[in-house]
Amino acid sequence: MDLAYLRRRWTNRAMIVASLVCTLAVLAPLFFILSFLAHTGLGALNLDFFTRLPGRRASPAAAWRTPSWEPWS
Amino acid sequence: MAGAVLVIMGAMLIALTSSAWPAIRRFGLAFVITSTWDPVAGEFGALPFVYGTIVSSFIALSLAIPLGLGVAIFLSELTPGWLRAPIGFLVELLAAIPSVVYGLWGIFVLVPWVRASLAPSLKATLGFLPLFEGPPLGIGMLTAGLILAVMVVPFIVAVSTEVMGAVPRSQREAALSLGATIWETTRTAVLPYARSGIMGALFLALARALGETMAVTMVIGNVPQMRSSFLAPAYTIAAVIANEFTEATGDLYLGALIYVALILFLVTVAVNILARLLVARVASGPALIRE
Repeated sequence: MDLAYLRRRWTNRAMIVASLVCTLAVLAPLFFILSFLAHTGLGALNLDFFTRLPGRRASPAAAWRTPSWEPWS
Repeated sequence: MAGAVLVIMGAMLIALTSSAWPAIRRFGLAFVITSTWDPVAGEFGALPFVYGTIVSSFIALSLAIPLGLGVAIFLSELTPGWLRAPIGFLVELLAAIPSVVYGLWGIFVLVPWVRASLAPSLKATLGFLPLFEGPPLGIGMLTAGLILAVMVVPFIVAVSTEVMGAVPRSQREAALSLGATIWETTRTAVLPYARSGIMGALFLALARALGETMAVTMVIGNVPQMRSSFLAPAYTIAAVIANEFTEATGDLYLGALIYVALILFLVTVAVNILARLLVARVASGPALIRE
Protein backbone atom coordinates (compact mmCIF):
# COMPACT_ATOMS: atom_id res chain seq x y z
CA MET A 1 0.00 0.00 0.00
CA ASP A 2 1.16 3.51 -0.76
CA LEU A 3 3.17 4.94 2.13
CA ALA A 4 1.75 8.44 1.66
CA TYR A 5 -1.78 7.05 1.77
CA LEU A 6 -1.00 5.17 4.97
CA ARG A 7 0.47 8.28 6.53
CA ARG A 8 -2.61 10.33 5.62
CA ARG A 9 -4.91 7.66 6.99
CA TRP A 10 -3.02 7.37 10.26
CA THR A 11 -2.87 11.17 10.62
CA ASN A 12 -6.62 11.28 10.12
CA ARG A 13 -7.19 8.62 12.77
CA ALA A 14 -4.79 10.31 15.17
CA MET A 15 -6.56 13.65 14.84
CA ILE A 16 -9.98 12.06 15.33
CA VAL A 17 -8.73 10.33 18.48
CA ALA A 18 -7.11 13.59 19.64
CA SER A 19 -10.36 15.50 19.25
CA LEU A 20 -12.20 12.78 21.18
CA VAL A 21 -9.59 12.96 23.94
CA CYS A 22 -9.98 16.76 24.03
CA THR A 23 -13.74 16.35 24.46
CA LEU A 24 -13.31 13.88 27.31
CA ALA A 25 -10.68 16.11 28.93
CA VAL A 26 -13.00 19.13 28.78
CA LEU A 27 -15.98 17.22 30.17
CA ALA A 28 -14.01 15.53 32.95
CA PRO A 29 -13.86 18.62 35.23
CA LEU A 30 -17.65 18.93 35.01
CA PHE A 31 -18.10 15.45 36.41
CA PHE A 32 -15.32 15.98 38.95
CA ILE A 33 -17.02 19.16 40.21
CA LEU A 34 -20.48 17.59 40.31
CA SER A 35 -19.20 14.52 42.13
CA PHE A 36 -17.23 16.70 44.56
CA LEU A 37 -20.32 18.79 45.33
CA ALA A 38 -22.52 15.72 45.69
CA HIS A 39 -20.01 13.87 47.84
CA THR A 40 -19.33 16.73 50.24
CA GLY A 41 -22.67 18.51 50.13
CA LEU A 42 -25.38 15.89 50.07
CA GLY A 43 -24.43 14.57 53.50
CA ALA A 44 -25.22 17.95 55.04
CA LEU A 45 -28.70 18.16 53.57
CA ASN A 46 -31.74 17.49 55.73
CA LEU A 47 -35.12 19.10 56.29
CA ASP A 48 -33.82 21.31 59.12
CA PHE A 49 -31.24 22.77 56.76
CA PHE A 50 -34.07 24.38 54.80
CA THR A 51 -36.65 25.04 57.51
CA ARG A 52 -34.73 26.21 60.60
CA LEU A 53 -32.57 29.19 61.37
CA PRO A 54 -28.98 28.50 62.36
CA GLY A 55 -28.78 27.88 66.12
CA ARG A 56 -26.58 30.04 68.31
CA ARG A 57 -24.87 26.93 69.64
CA ALA A 58 -24.56 25.23 66.32
CA SER A 59 -20.93 24.35 66.90
CA PRO A 60 -18.48 24.25 69.81
CA ALA A 61 -16.69 27.23 68.29
CA ALA A 62 -19.91 29.24 68.18
CA ALA A 63 -20.69 28.27 71.78
CA TRP A 64 -17.22 29.32 72.85
CA ARG A 65 -17.66 32.72 71.20
CA THR A 66 -21.04 33.38 72.86
CA PRO A 67 -20.37 35.53 75.99
CA SER A 68 -22.14 34.21 79.06
CA TRP A 69 -23.23 37.67 80.16
CA GLU A 70 -25.35 38.30 77.10
CA PRO A 71 -28.93 38.90 78.23
CA TRP A 72 -30.31 36.26 75.83
CA SER A 73 -27.82 33.54 76.73
CA MET B 1 -29.34 50.66 22.19
CA ALA B 2 -25.73 50.72 21.02
CA GLY B 3 -25.64 54.39 21.91
CA ALA B 4 -26.86 53.61 25.41
CA VAL B 5 -24.10 51.05 25.85
CA LEU B 6 -21.52 53.61 24.75
CA VAL B 7 -22.96 56.20 27.14
CA ILE B 8 -22.81 53.71 30.02
CA MET B 9 -19.24 52.77 29.18
CA GLY B 10 -18.28 56.41 28.90
CA ALA B 11 -19.88 57.12 32.26
CA MET B 12 -17.98 54.19 33.80
CA LEU B 13 -14.74 55.47 32.33
CA ILE B 14 -15.35 58.97 33.70
CA ALA B 15 -16.35 57.64 37.12
CA LEU B 16 -13.30 55.38 37.33
CA THR B 17 -10.94 58.12 36.18
CA SER B 18 -12.30 60.68 38.61
CA SER B 19 -12.20 58.21 41.52
CA ALA B 20 -8.68 57.14 40.61
CA TRP B 21 -7.51 60.71 40.14
CA PRO B 22 -5.52 60.99 43.42
CA ALA B 23 -3.44 57.97 42.37
CA ILE B 24 -3.18 59.08 38.73
CA ARG B 25 -1.94 62.51 39.83
CA ARG B 26 0.54 61.04 42.32
CA PHE B 27 1.99 58.14 40.32
CA GLY B 28 1.12 58.84 36.68
CA LEU B 29 1.89 56.13 34.14
CA ALA B 30 4.77 54.90 36.33
CA PHE B 31 2.04 53.17 38.34
CA VAL B 32 1.90 50.47 35.68
CA ILE B 33 5.64 49.69 35.81
CA THR B 34 6.20 50.00 39.58
CA SER B 35 6.17 46.86 41.70
CA THR B 36 5.85 48.29 45.22
CA TRP B 37 2.48 47.82 46.89
CA ASP B 38 2.73 49.23 50.38
CA PRO B 39 -0.52 50.71 51.72
CA VAL B 40 1.15 51.69 55.02
CA ALA B 41 3.81 53.79 53.28
CA GLY B 42 1.39 55.02 50.65
CA GLU B 43 3.46 53.58 47.78
CA PHE B 44 1.50 51.81 45.07
CA GLY B 45 2.45 50.11 41.82
CA ALA B 46 0.38 47.74 39.73
CA LEU B 47 3.10 45.74 37.99
CA PRO B 48 2.79 42.54 40.12
CA PHE B 49 -0.95 42.46 39.47
CA VAL B 50 -0.59 43.11 35.75
CA TYR B 51 2.06 40.38 35.62
CA GLY B 52 -0.07 37.88 37.55
CA THR B 53 -3.09 38.62 35.38
CA ILE B 54 -1.17 38.21 32.12
CA VAL B 55 0.71 35.05 33.17
CA SER B 56 -2.32 33.26 34.62
CA SER B 57 -4.34 34.15 31.50
CA PHE B 58 -1.47 32.95 29.30
CA ILE B 59 -1.38 29.59 31.11
CA ALA B 60 -5.14 29.30 30.82
CA LEU B 61 -5.24 30.03 27.10
CA SER B 62 -2.27 27.76 26.41
CA LEU B 63 -4.31 24.89 27.82
CA ALA B 64 -7.76 25.98 26.70
CA ILE B 65 -7.04 26.76 23.03
CA PRO B 66 -5.99 23.27 21.89
CA LEU B 67 -8.64 21.62 24.04
CA GLY B 68 -11.39 23.99 22.93
CA LEU B 69 -10.52 23.72 19.26
CA GLY B 70 -10.35 19.93 19.56
CA VAL B 71 -13.84 19.86 21.05
CA ALA B 72 -15.15 22.30 18.42
CA ILE B 73 -13.76 20.12 15.61
CA PHE B 74 -15.23 17.04 17.26
CA LEU B 75 -18.64 18.67 17.58
CA SER B 76 -18.85 20.30 14.17
CA GLU B 77 -17.08 17.73 11.97
CA LEU B 78 -17.15 14.31 13.63
CA THR B 79 -20.07 13.96 15.99
CA PRO B 80 -23.30 12.45 14.67
CA GLY B 81 -26.31 14.72 15.00
CA TRP B 82 -27.92 12.84 17.89
CA LEU B 83 -24.77 13.18 20.01
CA ARG B 84 -23.98 16.82 19.20
CA ALA B 85 -26.69 18.40 21.34
CA PRO B 86 -25.95 16.46 24.58
CA ILE B 87 -22.20 17.07 24.38
CA GLY B 88 -22.74 20.72 23.49
CA PHE B 89 -25.10 21.04 26.46
CA LEU B 90 -22.57 19.50 28.84
CA VAL B 91 -19.80 21.80 27.62
CA GLU B 92 -22.05 24.83 27.99
CA LEU B 93 -22.93 23.62 31.49
CA LEU B 94 -19.31 24.33 32.42
CA ALA B 95 -19.99 28.01 31.73
CA ALA B 96 -23.04 27.95 34.00
CA ILE B 97 -21.14 26.87 37.13
CA PRO B 98 -20.63 29.88 39.44
CA SER B 99 -17.02 30.93 39.77
CA VAL B 100 -17.13 30.57 43.56
CA VAL B 101 -17.95 26.88 43.07
CA TYR B 102 -14.93 26.60 40.80
CA GLY B 103 -12.94 28.25 43.57
CA LEU B 104 -14.19 25.79 46.20
CA TRP B 105 -13.37 22.87 43.93
CA GLY B 106 -9.99 24.43 43.31
CA ILE B 107 -9.19 24.76 47.00
CA PHE B 108 -10.36 21.33 48.07
CA VAL B 109 -9.50 19.21 45.02
CA LEU B 110 -7.21 20.97 42.56
CA VAL B 111 -4.75 22.56 45.00
CA PRO B 112 -4.02 19.28 46.85
CA TRP B 113 -3.67 17.46 43.52
CA VAL B 114 -1.27 20.07 42.14
CA ARG B 115 0.73 20.04 45.40
CA ALA B 116 0.94 16.26 45.67
CA SER B 117 1.06 15.07 42.05
CA LEU B 118 1.29 17.62 39.25
CA ALA B 119 3.88 20.02 40.63
CA PRO B 120 6.29 17.29 41.84
CA SER B 121 6.13 15.53 38.48
CA LEU B 122 6.66 18.82 36.64
CA LYS B 123 9.62 19.57 38.88
CA ALA B 124 11.02 16.09 38.30
CA THR B 125 10.82 16.39 34.52
CA LEU B 126 11.10 20.12 33.81
CA GLY B 127 12.62 21.32 37.07
CA PHE B 128 15.70 22.65 35.26
CA LEU B 129 13.50 25.41 33.79
CA PRO B 130 12.91 28.54 35.89
CA LEU B 131 9.21 28.12 35.17
CA PHE B 132 8.97 25.18 37.55
CA GLU B 133 11.36 26.03 40.36
CA GLY B 134 10.49 26.53 44.00
CA PRO B 135 8.45 24.46 46.43
CA PRO B 136 5.18 22.93 45.20
CA LEU B 137 2.73 24.85 47.37
CA GLY B 138 -0.35 23.94 45.40
CA ILE B 139 -1.62 27.49 45.31
CA GLY B 140 -0.08 29.65 42.62
CA MET B 141 -0.26 30.70 39.00
CA LEU B 142 -0.36 27.15 37.63
CA THR B 143 -3.45 26.26 39.65
CA ALA B 144 -5.09 29.57 38.74
CA GLY B 145 -4.29 28.91 35.09
CA LEU B 146 -5.82 25.43 35.32
CA ILE B 147 -9.02 26.77 36.86
CA LEU B 148 -9.20 29.57 34.29
CA ALA B 149 -8.67 27.08 31.46
CA VAL B 150 -11.68 25.06 32.60
CA MET B 151 -13.71 28.25 32.87
CA VAL B 152 -12.88 29.71 29.44
CA VAL B 153 -13.04 26.50 27.40
CA PRO B 154 -16.85 26.68 26.97
CA PHE B 155 -16.51 30.11 25.34
CA ILE B 156 -13.97 28.84 22.84
CA VAL B 157 -16.04 25.73 22.12
CA ALA B 158 -19.37 27.53 21.74
CA VAL B 159 -18.17 30.29 19.41
CA SER B 160 -15.81 28.07 17.40
CA THR B 161 -18.49 25.42 16.87
CA GLU B 162 -20.93 28.07 15.63
CA VAL B 163 -18.35 29.59 13.31
CA MET B 164 -17.27 26.21 11.93
CA GLY B 165 -20.91 25.26 11.50
CA ALA B 166 -21.38 28.38 9.37
CA VAL B 167 -18.82 27.16 6.82
CA PRO B 168 -20.76 26.27 3.65
CA ARG B 169 -21.34 22.57 3.12
CA SER B 170 -20.02 22.92 -0.41
CA GLN B 171 -16.55 23.65 0.99
CA ARG B 172 -16.44 20.31 2.75
CA GLU B 173 -17.97 18.44 -0.15
CA ALA B 174 -15.44 19.90 -2.56
CA ALA B 175 -12.54 18.77 -0.39
CA LEU B 176 -14.02 15.31 0.18
CA SER B 177 -14.70 14.88 -3.52
CA LEU B 178 -11.00 15.47 -4.17
CA GLY B 179 -10.15 12.55 -1.88
CA ALA B 180 -9.32 14.48 1.27
CA THR B 181 -9.71 12.77 4.62
CA ILE B 182 -11.90 14.26 7.35
CA TRP B 183 -8.90 15.87 9.02
CA GLU B 184 -7.59 17.23 5.71
CA THR B 185 -11.04 18.63 4.96
CA THR B 186 -11.13 20.30 8.36
CA ARG B 187 -7.60 21.63 8.03
CA THR B 188 -7.81 22.93 4.47
CA ALA B 189 -11.49 23.81 3.99
CA VAL B 190 -13.05 24.53 7.39
CA LEU B 191 -10.38 26.06 9.62
CA PRO B 192 -9.12 28.67 7.10
CA TYR B 193 -12.69 29.76 6.43
CA ALA B 194 -13.46 30.07 10.14
CA ARG B 195 -10.12 31.54 11.15
CA SER B 196 -11.30 35.04 12.03
CA GLY B 197 -14.25 33.74 14.02
CA ILE B 198 -12.02 31.38 15.94
CA MET B 199 -9.67 34.27 16.69
CA GLY B 200 -12.69 36.16 18.00
CA ALA B 201 -13.52 33.21 20.26
CA LEU B 202 -9.99 33.20 21.62
CA PHE B 203 -10.11 36.91 22.37
CA LEU B 204 -13.45 36.52 24.14
CA ALA B 205 -11.90 33.75 26.23
CA LEU B 206 -8.92 35.99 26.95
CA ALA B 207 -11.22 38.79 28.11
CA ARG B 208 -12.98 36.35 30.43
CA ALA B 209 -9.67 35.08 31.79
CA LEU B 210 -8.35 38.60 32.39
CA GLY B 211 -11.38 39.64 34.39
CA GLU B 212 -12.13 36.47 36.33
CA THR B 213 -12.09 37.22 40.03
CA MET B 214 -13.44 34.80 42.59
CA ALA B 215 -12.01 31.43 41.53
CA VAL B 216 -8.59 32.95 40.85
CA THR B 217 -8.59 34.82 44.16
CA MET B 218 -9.21 31.56 46.00
CA VAL B 219 -6.31 29.62 44.46
CA ILE B 220 -3.59 32.02 43.28
CA GLY B 221 -2.13 32.78 46.71
CA ASN B 222 -2.56 36.58 46.68
CA VAL B 223 1.07 37.60 47.08
CA PRO B 224 2.08 40.78 45.19
CA GLN B 225 5.33 39.45 43.77
CA MET B 226 6.74 38.66 40.35
CA ARG B 227 8.37 35.25 40.17
CA SER B 228 9.26 33.39 37.03
CA SER B 229 7.96 30.12 38.46
CA PHE B 230 4.42 29.04 37.64
CA LEU B 231 4.37 27.24 40.99
CA ALA B 232 4.82 30.47 42.97
CA PRO B 233 1.92 32.42 44.47
CA ALA B 234 0.95 35.62 42.70
CA TYR B 235 -1.81 38.19 42.54
CA THR B 236 -4.14 39.41 39.81
CA ILE B 237 -5.78 42.77 39.20
CA ALA B 238 -9.28 41.45 39.89
CA ALA B 239 -8.09 39.64 43.02
CA VAL B 240 -6.46 42.68 44.60
CA ILE B 241 -9.59 44.74 44.02
CA ALA B 242 -11.80 42.07 45.58
CA ASN B 243 -9.49 41.50 48.55
CA GLU B 244 -8.52 45.06 49.47
CA PHE B 245 -11.39 47.29 48.44
CA THR B 246 -13.25 46.98 51.74
CA GLU B 247 -10.17 47.82 53.79
CA ALA B 248 -8.90 50.69 51.65
CA THR B 249 -8.58 53.75 53.86
CA GLY B 250 -7.71 57.13 52.50
CA ASP B 251 -8.12 58.67 49.08
CA LEU B 252 -4.75 57.49 47.78
CA TYR B 253 -5.26 53.80 48.67
CA LEU B 254 -8.78 53.85 47.25
CA GLY B 255 -7.57 55.76 44.20
CA ALA B 256 -4.80 53.21 43.61
CA LEU B 257 -7.29 50.34 43.67
CA ILE B 258 -9.61 52.16 41.27
CA TYR B 259 -6.61 52.98 39.07
CA VAL B 260 -5.94 49.23 38.91
CA ALA B 261 -9.61 48.70 38.03
CA LEU B 262 -9.32 51.33 35.29
CA ILE B 263 -6.37 49.45 33.77
CA LEU B 264 -8.36 46.20 33.80
CA PHE B 265 -11.38 47.96 32.31
CA LEU B 266 -9.39 49.43 29.44
CA VAL B 267 -7.60 46.17 28.67
CA THR B 268 -10.83 44.15 28.74
CA VAL B 269 -12.68 46.64 26.55
CA ALA B 270 -9.83 46.66 24.03
CA VAL B 271 -9.76 42.86 23.90
CA ASN B 272 -13.54 42.66 23.50
CA ILE B 273 -13.58 45.24 20.70
CA LEU B 274 -10.88 43.29 18.88
CA ALA B 275 -12.88 40.07 19.30
CA ARG B 276 -16.07 41.66 17.99
CA LEU B 277 -14.26 43.04 14.96
CA LEU B 278 -12.84 39.62 14.14
CA VAL B 279 -16.20 37.88 14.55
CA ALA B 280 -17.89 40.55 12.41
CA ARG B 281 -15.24 40.02 9.75
CA VAL B 282 -16.01 36.31 9.45
CA ALA B 283 -19.75 36.99 9.48
CA SER B 284 -19.50 39.54 6.68
CA GLY B 285 -18.68 36.99 4.00
CA PRO B 286 -16.30 34.39 2.62
CA ALA B 287 -13.27 36.64 2.41
CA LEU B 288 -10.96 33.98 3.75
CA ILE B 289 -10.82 31.47 0.95
CA ARG B 290 -7.27 32.02 -0.09
CA GLU B 291 -5.84 28.55 0.07
